[in-house]
Amino acid sequence: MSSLSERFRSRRSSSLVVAGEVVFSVYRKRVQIGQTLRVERITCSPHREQSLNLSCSGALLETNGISASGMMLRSSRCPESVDIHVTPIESDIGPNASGAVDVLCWNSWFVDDIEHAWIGEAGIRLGGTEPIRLECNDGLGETEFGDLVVDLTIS
Amino acid sequence: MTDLELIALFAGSWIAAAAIWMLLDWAARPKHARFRPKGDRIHRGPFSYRHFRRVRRAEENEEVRLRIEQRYGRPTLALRQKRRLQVLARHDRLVTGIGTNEALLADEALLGDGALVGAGVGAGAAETDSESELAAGNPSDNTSNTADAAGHDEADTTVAEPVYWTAMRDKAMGFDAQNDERLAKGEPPVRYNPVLRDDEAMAYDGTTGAWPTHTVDPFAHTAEQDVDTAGTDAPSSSDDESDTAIERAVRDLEHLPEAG
Repeated sequence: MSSLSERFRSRRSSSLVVAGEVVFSVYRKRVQIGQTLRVERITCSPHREQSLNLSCSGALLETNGISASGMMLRSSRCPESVDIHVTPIESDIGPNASGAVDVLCWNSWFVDDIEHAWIGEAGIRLGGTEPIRLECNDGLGETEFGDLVVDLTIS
Repeated sequence: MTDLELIALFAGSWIAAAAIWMLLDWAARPKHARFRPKGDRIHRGPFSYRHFRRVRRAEENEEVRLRIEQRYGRPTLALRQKRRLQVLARHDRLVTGIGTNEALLADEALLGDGALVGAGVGAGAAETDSESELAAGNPSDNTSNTADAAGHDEADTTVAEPVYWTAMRDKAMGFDAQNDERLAKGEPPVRYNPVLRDDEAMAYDGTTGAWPTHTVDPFAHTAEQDVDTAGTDAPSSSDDESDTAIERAVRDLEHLPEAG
């Protein structure tokens, strides 16, 4: 039986229906520029270091004094609750100060200090909508979607 | 009429005839004879083709291309193909061993994969071209921290790329059967990147392999303080592993903007 990553790759899609549930390789959430995204880590696997990655096109993510279009929240470094601000991009053709952008979320894990994502049985299951609960499974071990569980709150 | 006037009249009549011929040819040329690439011929009608050409012309505009890249996080097709050719060419050089380490570092700067360690300029060498310095491989310009007194760098004893991939096969990384076959052949594993909507391969920088990443760790500078207290969520690590984490955190700091 092919793994989740193989099925994502063969379908060139970021979502699948597995046993009646929708599983994502990347979770997309529409947010407004100026809003704040709170990431709370609920549980994390003790076997491997986990990380939640966020990426945004059309805006910057700012936290801890750092602004970037892509961020990695490693379980060994970042606090359990992190506030990320969605800020506009200052560019030569003028700032994109308003509008909605897509924030992409996916999980990754570290093996021998090498970050991996989107291989094996990696996937994200939606455990709730208010707040948004992402139950992530890394590419190793059982497919229980309990390797990394985070809550996303938009304010 | 003099001979000169006769010659001028003869030449003028031919030029006028040629101009009239070109004018008639341009006016009478049918529309179906206009050159259209084969890839553009699948259109519902003239209006959809005009719209297609308008969109393509707009994308060629640099300003629009920048806006597309900021909004969608991906460059246009032309730019992506150029980068893909550069990446493939670099990968071929890594596999075949053609090209010195310095030339490969120059490729890193071209691709913008990360901070390029600038060539150290010795005394009296300020006017020297940096590229010629790199090509000469002057040991005094070796800026690697691991270089010993003789100027030999630790990176000189790195494993060849196919050997590295073959050895990775023995580690439990969670690769599927297709990637296992690639590792057995000494090729890097590939995965589907749903953010870029394209396949990507693992890259080997001479010491270790890594997937391409465009994310920044905003808490990297706190890694050194957290080494002593970390461990509640991550597995316990040996001193060697923590040093590697610290080194990586320091390297991440090189990419971060200065805190305001």
